[in-house]
Amino acid sequence: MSSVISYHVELDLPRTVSVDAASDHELVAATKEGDEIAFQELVRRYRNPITNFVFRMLDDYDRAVELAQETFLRVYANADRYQATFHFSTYIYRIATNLAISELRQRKRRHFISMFTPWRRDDDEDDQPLDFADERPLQDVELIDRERRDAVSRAIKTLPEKYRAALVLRDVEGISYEEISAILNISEGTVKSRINRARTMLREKLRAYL
Amino acid sequence: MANCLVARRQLELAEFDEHAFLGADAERHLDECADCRAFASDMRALRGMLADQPRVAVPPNFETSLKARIRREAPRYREPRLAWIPTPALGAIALATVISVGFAVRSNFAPLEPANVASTSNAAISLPVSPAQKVETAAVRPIAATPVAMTTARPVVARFARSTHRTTLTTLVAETERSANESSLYTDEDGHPLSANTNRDRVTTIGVVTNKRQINQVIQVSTGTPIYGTDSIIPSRSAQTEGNNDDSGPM
Repeated sequence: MSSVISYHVELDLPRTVSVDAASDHELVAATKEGDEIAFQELVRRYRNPITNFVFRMLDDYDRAVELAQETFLRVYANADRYQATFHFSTYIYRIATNLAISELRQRKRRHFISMFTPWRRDDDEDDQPLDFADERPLQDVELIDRERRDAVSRAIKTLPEKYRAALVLRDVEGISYEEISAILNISEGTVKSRINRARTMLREKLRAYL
Repeated sequence: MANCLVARRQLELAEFDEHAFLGADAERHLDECADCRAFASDMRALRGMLADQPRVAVPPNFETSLKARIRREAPRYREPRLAWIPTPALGAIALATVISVGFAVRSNFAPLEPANVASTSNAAISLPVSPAQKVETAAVRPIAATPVAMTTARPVVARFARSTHRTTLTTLVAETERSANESSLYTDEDGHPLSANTNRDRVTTIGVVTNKRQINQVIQVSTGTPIYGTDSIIPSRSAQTEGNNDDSGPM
Protein backbone atom coordinates (compact mmCIF):
# COMPACT_ATOMS: atom_id res chain seq x y z
CA MET A 1 0.00 0.00 0.00
CA SER A 2 1.49 3.33 -0.99
CA SER A 3 -0.80 5.60 1.01
CA VAL A 4 0.64 7.94 3.58
CA ILE A 5 -0.85 9.31 6.75
CA SER A 6 -0.11 12.60 8.38
CA TYR A 7 -0.59 13.44 12.03
CA HIS A 8 0.52 16.06 14.50
CA VAL A 9 2.77 15.48 17.45
CA GLU A 10 2.31 17.84 20.33
CA LEU A 11 4.44 20.99 19.88
CA ASP A 12 5.92 19.57 16.73
CA LEU A 13 5.49 19.78 12.98
CA PRO A 14 3.16 17.36 11.27
CA ARG A 15 4.75 14.02 10.57
CA THR A 16 4.10 12.01 7.47
CA VAL A 17 4.70 8.28 7.29
CA SER A 18 3.51 5.56 4.98
CA VAL A 19 0.54 3.58 6.25
CA ASP A 20 2.42 0.32 6.13
CA ALA A 21 5.31 1.65 8.18
CA ALA A 22 3.15 3.50 10.69
CA SER A 23 2.98 2.14 14.19
CA ASP A 24 -0.37 1.49 15.81
CA HIS A 25 0.03 4.63 17.91
CA GLU A 26 0.68 6.70 14.80
CA LEU A 27 -2.38 5.25 13.13
CA VAL A 28 -4.53 6.13 16.12
CA ALA A 29 -3.07 9.65 16.15
CA ALA A 30 -3.99 10.05 12.50
CA THR A 31 -7.44 8.55 13.11
CA LYS A 32 -7.90 11.12 15.84
CA GLU A 33 -7.36 13.81 13.20
CA GLY A 34 -9.98 12.27 10.95
CA ASP A 35 -7.77 10.16 8.69
CA GLU A 36 -10.01 7.36 7.43
CA ILE A 37 -7.14 5.49 5.79
CA ALA A 38 -5.34 5.21 9.11
CA PHE A 39 -8.42 3.75 10.74
CA GLN A 40 -8.88 1.31 7.86
CA GLU A 41 -5.31 0.15 8.39
CA LEU A 42 -5.98 -0.43 12.08
CA VAL A 43 -9.05 -2.45 11.15
CA ARG A 44 -7.03 -4.42 8.62
CA ARG A 45 -4.35 -5.25 11.19
CA TYR A 46 -6.66 -6.33 13.98
CA ARG A 47 -9.92 -7.49 12.39
CA ASN A 48 -8.98 -11.17 12.20
CA PRO A 49 -7.20 -11.53 15.57
CA ILE A 50 -10.02 -9.75 17.38
CA THR A 51 -12.73 -11.72 15.62
CA ASN A 52 -10.88 -14.96 16.27
CA PHE A 53 -10.42 -14.13 19.93
CA VAL A 54 -14.08 -13.24 20.44
CA PHE A 55 -15.10 -16.34 18.51
CA ARG A 56 -13.00 -18.54 20.82
CA MET A 57 -14.59 -16.84 23.80
CA LEU A 58 -18.18 -17.23 22.56
CA ASP A 59 -18.04 -20.14 20.11
CA ASP A 60 -20.52 -18.14 18.00
CA TYR A 61 -19.17 -16.80 14.72
CA ASP A 62 -21.93 -14.32 13.86
CA ARG A 63 -21.92 -12.74 17.29
CA ALA A 64 -18.12 -12.69 17.26
CA VAL A 65 -18.17 -10.65 14.05
CA GLU A 66 -20.72 -8.23 15.54
CA LEU A 67 -18.68 -7.77 18.68
CA ALA A 68 -15.47 -7.33 16.70
CA GLN A 69 -17.20 -4.54 14.79
CA GLU A 70 -18.40 -3.04 18.03
CA THR A 71 -14.81 -3.13 19.29
CA PHE A 72 -13.65 -1.08 16.31
CA LEU A 73 -16.62 1.21 16.69
CA ARG A 74 -15.55 2.01 20.23
CA VAL A 75 -11.97 2.56 19.15
CA TYR A 76 -13.13 4.97 16.46
CA ALA A 77 -15.63 6.80 18.65
CA ASN A 78 -13.09 7.32 21.42
CA ALA A 79 -9.95 7.84 19.38
CA ASP A 80 -9.58 11.40 20.63
CA ARG A 81 -9.30 10.13 24.19
CA TYR A 82 -6.88 7.33 23.48
CA GLN A 83 -3.77 7.55 25.63
CA ALA A 84 -0.68 5.80 24.34
CA THR A 85 0.12 4.43 27.78
CA PHE A 86 -0.17 0.80 26.71
CA HIS A 87 0.31 -1.00 23.43
CA PHE A 88 -2.64 -0.41 21.15
CA SER A 89 -3.11 -4.19 21.04
CA THR A 90 -3.60 -4.17 24.82
CA TYR A 91 -6.20 -1.44 24.45
CA ILE A 92 -8.18 -3.14 21.71
CA TYR A 93 -8.00 -6.60 23.30
CA ARG A 94 -9.22 -5.11 26.54
CA ILE A 95 -12.28 -3.68 24.81
CA ALA A 96 -12.91 -6.98 23.05
CA THR A 97 -12.46 -8.96 26.27
CA ASN A 98 -14.91 -6.75 28.14
CA LEU A 99 -17.47 -7.08 25.36
CA ALA A 100 -17.05 -10.85 25.22
CA ILE A 101 -17.31 -11.27 28.99
CA SER A 102 -20.33 -9.00 29.06
CA GLU A 103 -21.95 -11.12 26.36
CA LEU A 104 -21.20 -14.31 28.30
CA ARG A 105 -22.77 -12.86 31.42
CA GLN A 106 -25.88 -11.81 29.52
CA ARG A 107 -26.14 -15.30 28.12
CA LYS A 108 -25.75 -16.77 31.56
CA ARG A 109 -28.58 -14.56 32.88
CA ARG A 110 -30.78 -15.60 29.98
CA HIS A 111 -29.88 -19.21 30.70
CA PHE A 112 -30.85 -18.85 34.36
CA ILE A 113 -34.38 -17.78 33.54
CA SER A 114 -34.96 -20.50 30.99
CA MET A 115 -38.31 -22.15 31.70
CA PHE A 116 -37.48 -25.26 29.79
CA THR A 117 -34.28 -26.37 31.45
CA PRO A 118 -34.48 -24.98 34.98
CA TRP A 119 -32.69 -28.00 36.38
CA ARG A 120 -29.71 -27.75 34.08
CA ARG A 121 -26.45 -26.97 35.80
CA ASP A 122 -24.41 -23.97 34.88
CA ASP A 123 -21.87 -24.83 32.21
CA ASP A 124 -19.12 -23.21 34.21
CA GLU A 125 -19.59 -25.70 37.00
CA ASP A 126 -19.71 -28.69 34.74
CA ASP A 127 -16.70 -30.83 35.45
CA GLN A 128 -17.90 -33.86 33.56
CA PRO A 129 -15.87 -35.05 30.59
CA LEU A 130 -17.37 -33.73 27.38
CA ASP A 131 -17.13 -36.85 25.31
CA PHE A 132 -16.26 -40.43 25.74
CA ALA A 133 -13.64 -41.77 23.44
CA ASP A 134 -14.94 -43.65 20.47
CA GLU A 135 -12.64 -46.65 20.22
CA ARG A 136 -13.73 -47.62 16.75
CA PRO A 137 -11.18 -46.95 14.05
CA LEU A 138 -12.02 -43.93 11.92
CA GLN A 139 -11.12 -43.94 8.29
CA ASP A 140 -11.13 -40.27 7.67
CA VAL A 141 -8.23 -38.44 9.27
CA GLU A 142 -9.83 -35.12 8.53
CA LEU A 143 -12.95 -36.22 10.30
CA ILE A 144 -10.89 -37.12 13.35
CA ASP A 145 -9.20 -33.76 13.31
CA ARG A 146 -12.50 -31.96 12.96
CA GLU A 147 -13.99 -33.89 15.83
CA ARG A 148 -10.97 -33.11 17.96
CA ARG A 149 -11.16 -29.41 17.12
CA ASP A 150 -14.84 -29.34 17.94
CA ALA A 151 -14.15 -31.05 21.24
CA VAL A 152 -11.53 -28.42 22.09
CA SER A 153 -13.97 -25.63 21.18
CA ARG A 154 -16.66 -27.14 23.36
CA ALA A 155 -14.18 -27.67 26.19
CA ILE A 156 -13.04 -24.04 26.05
CA LYS A 157 -16.66 -22.96 26.05
CA THR A 158 -17.25 -24.70 29.36
CA LEU A 159 -14.42 -22.89 31.15
CA PRO A 160 -15.41 -20.13 33.55
CA GLU A 161 -15.07 -16.80 31.77
CA LYS A 162 -12.10 -15.55 33.78
CA TYR A 163 -10.11 -18.70 33.03
CA ARG A 164 -11.32 -18.76 29.46
CA ALA A 165 -10.17 -15.24 28.67
CA ALA A 166 -6.68 -15.85 30.07
CA LEU A 167 -6.29 -19.20 28.32
CA VAL A 168 -7.51 -18.00 24.92
CA LEU A 169 -5.32 -14.91 25.03
CA ARG A 170 -2.27 -17.00 25.88
CA ASP A 171 -2.67 -20.39 24.24
CA VAL A 172 -4.77 -19.46 21.20
CA GLU A 173 -3.74 -15.87 20.50
CA GLY A 174 -0.18 -16.26 21.78
CA ILE A 175 -0.12 -13.01 23.74
CA SER A 176 2.55 -12.56 26.41
CA TYR A 177 1.74 -12.93 30.10
CA GLU A 178 2.68 -9.31 30.64
CA GLU A 179 0.24 -8.05 28.04
CA ILE A 180 -2.52 -10.37 29.26
CA SER A 181 -1.95 -8.92 32.71
CA ALA A 182 -2.54 -5.43 31.27
CA ILE A 183 -5.55 -6.52 29.21
CA LEU A 184 -7.29 -8.23 32.11
CA ASN A 185 -6.04 -5.69 34.64
CA ILE A 186 -4.76 -8.37 37.01
CA SER A 187 -1.28 -9.29 38.19
CA GLU A 188 0.96 -11.49 36.12
CA GLY A 189 0.92 -14.09 38.89
CA THR A 190 -2.85 -14.23 38.74
CA VAL A 191 -2.71 -14.60 34.96
CA LYS A 192 -0.38 -17.59 35.27
CA SER A 193 -2.50 -19.10 37.99
CA ARG A 194 -5.67 -18.76 35.92
CA ILE A 195 -4.03 -20.22 32.84
CA ASN A 196 -2.65 -23.11 34.85
CA ARG A 197 -6.09 -23.80 36.29
CA ALA A 198 -7.69 -23.56 32.86
CA ARG A 199 -5.20 -26.02 31.36
CA THR A 200 -5.80 -28.46 34.17
CA MET A 201 -9.55 -28.24 33.59
CA LEU A 202 -9.10 -28.66 29.86
CA ARG A 203 -6.85 -31.67 30.37
CA GLU A 204 -9.58 -33.32 32.41
CA LYS A 205 -12.28 -32.51 29.89
CA LEU A 206 -10.25 -33.61 26.89
CA ARG A 207 -8.71 -36.71 28.45
CA ALA A 208 -10.32 -38.84 25.78
CA TYR A 209 -8.51 -36.95 23.03
CA LEU A 210 -5.06 -36.62 24.55
CA MET B 1 15.09 -34.42 43.58
CA ALA B 2 12.01 -32.49 42.55
CA ASN B 3 8.71 -33.90 43.71
CA CYS B 4 5.76 -34.43 41.34
CA LEU B 5 4.19 -31.05 42.06
CA VAL B 6 7.35 -29.09 41.37
CA ALA B 7 8.23 -31.17 38.33
CA ARG B 8 4.78 -30.71 36.82
CA ARG B 9 4.88 -27.00 37.36
CA GLN B 10 8.19 -26.84 35.55
CA LEU B 11 6.91 -29.14 32.85
CA GLU B 12 3.94 -26.92 32.21
CA LEU B 13 6.05 -23.83 32.07
CA ALA B 14 8.52 -25.48 29.73
CA GLU B 15 5.73 -26.70 27.50
CA PHE B 16 3.86 -23.43 27.18
CA ASP B 17 6.42 -20.73 27.84
CA GLU B 18 9.15 -20.35 25.29
CA HIS B 19 11.47 -18.76 27.83
CA ALA B 20 11.17 -21.46 30.46
CA PHE B 21 13.21 -24.64 30.54
CA LEU B 22 13.08 -27.88 32.45
CA GLY B 23 15.57 -28.06 35.29
CA ALA B 24 17.95 -30.97 35.81
CA ASP B 25 16.03 -32.10 38.89
CA ALA B 26 12.78 -32.19 36.95
CA GLU B 27 14.47 -34.09 34.11
CA ARG B 28 15.67 -36.75 36.55
CA HIS B 29 12.22 -36.90 38.13
CA LEU B 30 10.64 -37.49 34.74
CA ASP B 31 12.94 -40.40 34.08
CA GLU B 32 11.73 -42.10 37.20
CA CYS B 33 8.05 -41.08 37.43
CA ALA B 34 5.65 -42.60 34.94
CA ASP B 35 2.73 -40.41 36.07
CA CYS B 36 4.69 -37.27 35.41
CA ARG B 37 5.76 -38.57 32.03
CA ALA B 38 2.11 -39.09 31.20
CA PHE B 39 1.37 -35.60 32.46
CA ALA B 40 4.09 -34.20 30.20
CA SER B 41 2.66 -36.08 27.26
CA ASP B 42 -0.84 -34.75 27.97
CA MET B 43 0.43 -31.20 28.22
CA ARG B 44 2.26 -31.51 24.95
CA ALA B 45 -0.83 -32.89 23.24
CA LEU B 46 -3.02 -30.17 24.76
CA ARG B 47 -0.69 -27.46 23.56
CA GLY B 48 -0.81 -28.95 20.08
CA MET B 49 -4.59 -29.11 20.09
CA LEU B 50 -4.95 -25.50 21.22
CA ALA B 51 -2.42 -24.28 18.69
CA ASP B 52 -4.14 -26.27 15.93
CA GLN B 53 -7.46 -24.58 16.45
CA PRO B 54 -8.39 -23.05 13.11
CA ARG B 55 -8.42 -19.28 13.05
CA VAL B 56 -11.56 -17.67 11.80
CA ALA B 57 -11.47 -14.72 9.44
CA VAL B 58 -13.92 -11.89 9.04
CA PRO B 59 -16.56 -12.07 6.31
CA PRO B 60 -15.91 -10.12 3.07
CA ASN B 61 -18.44 -7.41 3.93
CA PHE B 62 -16.88 -6.73 7.34
CA GLU B 63 -15.50 -3.29 6.54
CA THR B 64 -18.53 -2.13 4.57
CA SER B 65 -20.77 -3.16 7.39
CA LEU B 66 -18.43 -1.53 9.94
CA LYS B 67 -18.49 1.77 8.01
CA ALA B 68 -22.28 1.72 7.99
CA ARG B 69 -22.35 1.05 11.72
CA ILE B 70 -19.88 3.86 12.38
CA ARG B 71 -22.05 6.33 10.48
CA ARG B 72 -25.12 5.12 12.33
CA GLU B 73 -23.87 4.37 15.83
CA ALA B 74 -20.55 6.07 16.56
CA PRO B 75 -22.01 8.90 18.68
CA ARG B 76 -23.67 6.34 20.91
CA TYR B 77 -20.35 4.70 21.69
CA ARG B 78 -18.56 7.84 22.80
CA GLU B 79 -17.69 7.38 26.42
CA PRO B 80 -18.65 10.08 28.87
CA ARG B 81 -15.86 12.45 29.88
CA LEU B 82 -15.48 10.85 33.30
CA ALA B 83 -15.33 7.29 31.98
CA TRP B 84 -11.64 7.05 32.81
CA ILE B 85 -12.42 7.35 36.52
CA PRO B 86 -13.15 3.93 38.03
CA THR B 87 -16.79 3.56 39.03
CA PRO B 88 -16.08 3.12 42.78
CA ALA B 89 -14.03 6.33 42.80
CA LEU B 90 -16.77 8.13 40.92
CA GLY B 91 -19.30 6.84 43.46
CA ALA B 92 -17.15 8.01 46.37
CA ILE B 93 -16.81 11.48 44.83
CA ALA B 94 -20.56 11.68 44.26
CA LEU B 95 -21.25 10.56 47.83
CA ALA B 96 -18.80 13.12 49.26
CA THR B 97 -20.44 15.84 47.17
CA VAL B 98 -23.92 14.89 48.36
CA ILE B 99 -22.79 14.87 51.99
CA SER B 100 -21.06 18.24 51.62
CA VAL B 101 -24.12 19.76 50.00
CA GLY B 102 -26.27 18.24 52.73
CA PHE B 103 -24.20 19.85 55.46
CA ALA B 104 -24.19 23.14 53.62
CA VAL B 105 -27.96 23.14 53.28
CA ARG B 106 -28.47 22.18 56.90
CA SER B 107 -26.18 24.93 58.07
CA ASN B 108 -28.01 27.42 55.87
CA PHE B 109 -31.28 26.50 57.48
CA ALA B 110 -30.19 25.89 61.04
CA PRO B 111 -32.91 26.19 63.68
CA LEU B 112 -33.52 29.80 64.45
CA GLU B 113 -35.22 31.65 67.17
CA PRO B 114 -38.71 32.65 66.18
CA ALA B 115 -38.78 36.15 64.87
CA ASN B 116 -41.45 38.40 63.68
CA VAL B 117 -41.68 38.76 60.03
CA ALA B 118 -43.07 41.58 58.03
CA SER B 119 -46.59 41.12 56.92
CA THR B 120 -47.07 39.47 53.66
CA SER B 121 -49.73 40.15 51.20
CA ASN B 122 -50.91 39.08 47.86
CA ALA B 123 -49.63 35.54 47.79
CA ALA B 124 -46.47 36.09 49.70
CA ILE B 125 -45.49 34.44 52.93
CA SER B 126 -42.35 35.59 54.60
CA LEU B 127 -40.28 32.96 56.31
CA PRO B 128 -37.62 34.47 58.48
CA VAL B 129 -34.27 32.81 58.29
CA SER B 130 -30.82 33.54 59.52
CA PRO B 131 -29.86 37.15 58.93
CA ALA B 132 -26.29 36.04 58.63
CA GLN B 133 -27.19 33.93 55.67
CA LYS B 134 -29.13 36.82 54.14
CA VAL B 135 -31.73 34.44 52.88
CA GLU B 136 -34.30 36.26 50.89
CA THR B 137 -37.93 35.87 51.64
CA ALA B 138 -39.39 33.75 48.98
CA ALA B 139 -42.79 34.04 47.51
CA VAL B 140 -45.04 31.03 47.69
CA ARG B 141 -46.17 30.06 44.29
CA PRO B 142 -49.37 28.14 43.68
CA ILE B 143 -48.95 24.57 42.54
CA ALA B 144 -52.56 23.83 41.76
CA ALA B 145 -54.64 25.16 38.97
CA THR B 146 -57.02 26.76 41.44
CA PRO B 147 -54.94 28.15 44.23
CA VAL B 148 -56.54 28.92 47.54
CA ALA B 149 -57.10 32.51 48.35
CA MET B 150 -55.03 32.94 51.46
CA THR B 151 -55.17 36.27 53.08
CA THR B 152 -52.08 36.47 55.10
CA ALA B 153 -51.91 40.06 56.03
CA ARG B 154 -50.79 39.18 59.49
CA PRO B 155 -47.51 38.15 60.96
CA VAL B 156 -46.44 34.59 60.58
CA VAL B 157 -43.61 33.43 62.72
CA ALA B 158 -41.72 30.54 61.34
CA ARG B 159 -38.43 28.89 61.66
CA PHE B 160 -36.79 26.12 59.76
CA ALA B 161 -36.64 23.19 62.04
CA ARG B 162 -35.58 19.97 60.43
CA SER B 163 -35.65 18.04 57.23
CA THR B 164 -38.77 16.02 56.61
CA HIS B 165 -36.98 13.60 54.33
CA ARG B 166 -33.37 13.13 55.12
CA THR B 167 -32.68 11.96 51.63
CA THR B 168 -34.28 14.99 50.03
CA LEU B 169 -32.15 17.96 50.72
CA THR B 170 -34.54 20.41 49.20
CA THR B 171 -37.37 19.46 51.50
CA LEU B 172 -37.44 21.44 54.69
CA VAL B 173 -39.96 21.96 57.35
CA ALA B 174 -41.03 25.28 58.61
CA GLU B 175 -42.65 25.21 61.95
CA THR B 176 -45.07 28.02 62.24
CA GLU B 177 -46.09 29.42 65.53
CA ARG B 178 -49.14 31.49 65.42
CA SER B 179 -51.24 33.17 68.01
CA ALA B 180 -54.76 32.05 68.75
CA ASN B 181 -56.43 34.64 66.61
CA GLU B 182 -54.27 33.72 63.70
CA SER B 183 -55.68 30.22 63.76
CA SER B 184 -58.97 31.55 62.57
CA LEU B 185 -57.24 32.42 59.40
CA TYR B 186 -57.86 28.86 58.27
CA THR B 187 -60.88 26.64 58.38
CA ASP B 188 -61.25 22.96 57.83
CA GLU B 189 -63.19 21.54 54.94
CA ASP B 190 -66.50 22.03 56.78
CA GLY B 191 -65.82 25.69 57.32
CA HIS B 192 -65.06 25.43 61.04
CA PRO B 193 -62.23 27.67 62.13
CA LEU B 194 -59.13 25.79 63.06
CA SER B 195 -58.13 26.49 66.60
CA ALA B 196 -54.57 26.58 67.66
CA ASN B 197 -55.48 24.44 70.65
CA THR B 198 -57.50 21.73 69.00
CA ASN B 199 -55.71 21.59 65.73
CA ARG B 200 -52.29 22.58 66.72
CA ASP B 201 -50.67 19.68 65.00
CA ARG B 202 -52.49 20.34 61.83
CA VAL B 203 -52.16 24.04 61.77
CA THR B 204 -49.06 25.05 63.51
CA THR B 205 -46.74 22.66 61.85
CA ILE B 206 -46.43 23.14 58.19
CA GLY B 207 -43.85 22.02 55.80
CA VAL B 208 -42.21 24.08 53.19
CA VAL B 209 -40.85 22.41 50.14
CA THR B 210 -38.15 24.53 48.77
CA ASN B 211 -36.02 24.56 45.74
CA LYS B 212 -32.93 26.23 47.12
CA ARG B 213 -34.23 29.60 48.28
CA GLN B 214 -37.43 29.49 46.32
CA ILE B 215 -40.40 28.21 48.25
CA ASN B 216 -42.59 26.19 45.99
CA GLN B 217 -45.05 24.52 48.20
CA VAL B 218 -46.39 24.57 51.74
CA ILE B 219 -47.48 21.25 53.09
CA GLN B 220 -49.09 20.10 56.27
CA VAL B 221 -46.58 17.79 57.84
CA SER B 222 -48.95 15.76 60.01
CA THR B 223 -50.97 14.61 57.01
CA GLY B 224 -48.68 15.37 54.16
CA THR B 225 -51.42 17.40 52.55
CA PRO B 226 -50.43 20.53 50.72
CA ILE B 227 -51.94 23.52 52.50
CA TYR B 228 -51.14 25.94 49.84
CA GLY B 229 -52.57 25.27 46.46
CA THR B 230 -55.28 22.86 47.53
CA ASP B 231 -58.64 23.24 49.15
CA SER B 232 -57.97 20.93 52.07
CA ILE B 233 -57.62 23.93 54.31
CA ILE B 234 -59.10 27.13 53.21
CA PRO B 235 -59.18 30.56 54.76
CA SER B 236 -62.16 31.24 56.92
CA ARG B 237 -64.80 33.66 55.77
CA SER B 238 -63.77 36.17 58.33
CA ALA B 239 -60.20 35.94 57.18
CA GLN B 240 -61.31 36.28 53.61
CA THR B 241 -63.42 39.27 54.46
CA GLU B 242 -60.62 40.74 56.45
CA GLY B 243 -58.25 39.98 53.68
CA ASN B 244 -60.49 41.66 51.20
CA ASN B 245 -60.71 44.65 53.45
CA ASP B 246 -56.97 44.65 53.57
CA ASP B 247 -57.01 44.53 49.85
CA SER B 248 -55.16 41.28 49.94
CA GLY B 249 -55.91 39.35 46.84
CA PRO B 250 -55.56 35.67 46.17
CA MET B 251 -52.16 34.27 45.66
